[in-house]
Amino acid sequence: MQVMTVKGPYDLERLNVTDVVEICDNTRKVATEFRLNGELVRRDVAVSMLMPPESAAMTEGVLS
Amino acid sequence: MANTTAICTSFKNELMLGAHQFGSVTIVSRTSLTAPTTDSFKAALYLVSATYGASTTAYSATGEVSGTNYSAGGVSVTNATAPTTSGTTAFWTPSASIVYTTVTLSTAFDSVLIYNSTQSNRAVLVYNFGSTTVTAGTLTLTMPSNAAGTALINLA
Repeated sequence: MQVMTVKGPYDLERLNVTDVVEICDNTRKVATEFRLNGELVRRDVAVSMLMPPESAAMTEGVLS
Repeated sequence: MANTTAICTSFKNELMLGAHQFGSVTIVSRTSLTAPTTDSFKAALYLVSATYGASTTAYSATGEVSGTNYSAGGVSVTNATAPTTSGTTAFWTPSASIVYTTVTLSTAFDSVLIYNSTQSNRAVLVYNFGSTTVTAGTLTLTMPSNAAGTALINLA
């Protein structure tokens, strides 16, 4: 299987592939890095948006 | 059974459907009042150095990422599922992941702006997912579960 990189297509076997996982407050981010002889030649990122940015503030029960 | 003070759930949903108009606003024609079209939405990416957020009113190219295979304005958002309600919450989420294919974005970016490209590029929301870069790869933004409380937009 070949992977397209900044240096053209390379066999996956020739590349060192690592996943870097980051978990923030509201997201889970996985960066898949492909390195050729130590040089970064491709980086894919998958972001899972786990939560809404905020709940819209529609205040109820404000009448006194 | 007593009456209760509440904003009606159907109203929250209808806000996202554009059914109410409390003030005047200039919009792009939706062709027909009885069989209107759905607006189109897009998603643009912004650099870490940009300052988009709650005060953002519309898409702008200022601070937007640039790089191989990325077009200014970003990509289209798939909107095949209309807003709906559950309990007293109205909610909406794009119906597919937002994908930027085979891009190289070398300068760190951290946010996506979803905006209404039909209605004068009016801003909908900004989502900060943390600083990242992409090299000759694909950026996939997977949406949260489209349910009350977890959907991308919740009117609770």
